[in-house]
Amino acid sequence: MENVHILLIEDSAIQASVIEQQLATSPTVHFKVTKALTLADGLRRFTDDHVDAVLLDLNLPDSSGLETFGRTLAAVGQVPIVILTSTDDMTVGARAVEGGAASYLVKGQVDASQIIRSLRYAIQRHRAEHAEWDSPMFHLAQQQFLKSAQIMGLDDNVRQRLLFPQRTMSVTLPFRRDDYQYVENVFGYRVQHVLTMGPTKGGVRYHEDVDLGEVAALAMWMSWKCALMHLPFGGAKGGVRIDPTWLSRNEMQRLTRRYTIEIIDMIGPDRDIPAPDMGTNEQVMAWMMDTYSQQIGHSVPAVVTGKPVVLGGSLGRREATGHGLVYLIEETAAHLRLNLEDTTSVVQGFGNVGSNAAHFLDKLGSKVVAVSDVSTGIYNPNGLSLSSIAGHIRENGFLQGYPDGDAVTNAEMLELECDILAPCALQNQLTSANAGRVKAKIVAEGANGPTSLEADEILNERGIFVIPDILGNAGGVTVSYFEWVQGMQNYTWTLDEINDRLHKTLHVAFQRALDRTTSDKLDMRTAATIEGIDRVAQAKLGRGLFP
Amino acid sequence: MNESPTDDYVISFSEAARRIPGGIDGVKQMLPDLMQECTQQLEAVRTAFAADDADKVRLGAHTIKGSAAVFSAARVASAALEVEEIGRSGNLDAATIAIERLAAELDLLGQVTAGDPGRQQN
Repeated sequence: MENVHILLIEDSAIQASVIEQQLATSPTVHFKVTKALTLADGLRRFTDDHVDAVLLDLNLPDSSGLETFGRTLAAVGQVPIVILTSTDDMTVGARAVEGGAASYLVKGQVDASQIIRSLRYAIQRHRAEHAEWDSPMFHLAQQQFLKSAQIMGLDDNVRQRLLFPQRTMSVTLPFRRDDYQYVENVFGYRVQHVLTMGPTKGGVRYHEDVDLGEVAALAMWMSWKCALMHLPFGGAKGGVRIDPTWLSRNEMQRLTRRYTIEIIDMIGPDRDIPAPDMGTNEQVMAWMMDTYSQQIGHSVPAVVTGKPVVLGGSLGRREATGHGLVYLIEETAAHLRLNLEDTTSVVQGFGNVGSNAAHFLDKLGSKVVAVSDVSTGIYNPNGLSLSSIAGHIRENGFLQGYPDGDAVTNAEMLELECDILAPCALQNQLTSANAGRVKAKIVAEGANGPTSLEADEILNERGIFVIPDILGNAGGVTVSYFEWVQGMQNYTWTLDEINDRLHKTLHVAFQRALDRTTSDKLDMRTAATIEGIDRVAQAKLGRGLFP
Repeated sequence: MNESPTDDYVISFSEAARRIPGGIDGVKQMLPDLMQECTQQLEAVRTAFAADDADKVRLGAHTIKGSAAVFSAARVASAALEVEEIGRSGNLDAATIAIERLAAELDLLGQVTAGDPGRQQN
């Protein structure tokens, strides 16, 4: 659930109390409310703490009417202001909105859902206007790229060309809620980073933090990843800024179909092939494929990967990312002369990647001592029963309350005593603040961007072997490639064939990156990134510049 | 300006319950706080009137109007609006009657919400 901090400036205690209760009814947003009875008190509190939006009454003991709005606007700068007043005056309302108020609501005429929607949309619009490219993840992707480009002496023309994606599409799209009178408007994106090497490839994520910068970062990493794996794709990524956990199945379907139509000119089996990512799954891919096929006039299974097997999905695709990560851990263990049966593992995240990584680590004999999901982490130094954990999550939805272990936070997980640490949840988990306390010998990145540049340096200095994300989670796109090939040829492979090819592809890529660490005296991430960038640069230079 | 609540009812529980979480029980639970705040604001209006402070008369009445509107207490909101407009005009000559009407409406709201269903509407 999204956390939002509201500064409520309202001189009536009873009205403030009602508003606070109204905000607490939101199923999707957790509102933290700071209350102020006067404007002076409100503006003082504004400077004390981070505020996402101001909910403002206009008539206060120390200020009245539009003067209140003007003074607030001058003090809070870019933070959106929603006015909630009992002055039902069209002229005042129009002047306030023209002057920059996000919306103007009249007390007694609006219910809880309208106030919540106004605040949500105000914050969303503010983020869209001010932070589309200003994304920490995009900065990280660019910093990593520039570092590698500097080391490899990349041609400056190519460097500038690759620093930003070649194509971006930003759309707003409506979809109807199950409550028929409500229509949600959300932001959607599709970004294609490199169009040089064949169609582009990349997942679609539904998450409340998605913005253009994040999608662009993920598309860039996909380019390096595909090139590192020698797949004939450029990188792409898509997303919709929405928390999918509060959508019903029907709402998910309507959202997905509308999003597909909005980006339909960009996608296609020879153009750009979406796949599942955070917040999306096989079913979402089936709806995308159906929507696309309805428009084209015949079935086009190869327009997406990660779809159900019955619609042309590949065997082994669902577990491919986690499985691939464990193949690479095996390669690393062999390189470091570690016997996996003597190791302990910690896996952060128990979604598709984390749960499969834990499963395959367990299968190879590594003792999985801690796992986590969004609700909590569970630690048991004697080892966890993964089947029992999966059963607990099936029954309760979350890991919280699992009895056979101690609860630990996601942050504490990263510092536990273990040999293998696999961050498989979110970005920016290992930072300069905690990298010095990581005790693992191997950090195997299943998530995208879990390690900051500073943390990366600390881990390298400490001799911890990092399997970087562009290699660590490349199993997913590799089996997606297999699925696309099978779809284009109308031919299906067995699970053994797929796992065998996946293993070989990852082994070769791992060795290429490892060799470069030795020959060029580089860390594994830089070596793997340079492997990818080098191949993209060669392709760019090979095609030349049009016209 | 469109500030004249025309509905001539004391309180609409069903309408208030659409806004206030907890339904009609939620509304009933908060009514004592509403009455307390409105009574305090009425005192503030009377004090401001005695001091010939038109702006404070306006502000106190405006706050009562807003709170009453949230609870769909239409007659109190209407009486408060009348006082607010007198305060805004700066001329408090006509305020005595309007303030007493507001006091009477608040009194009526208090009776109704204290359990006199004969007066209650909706």
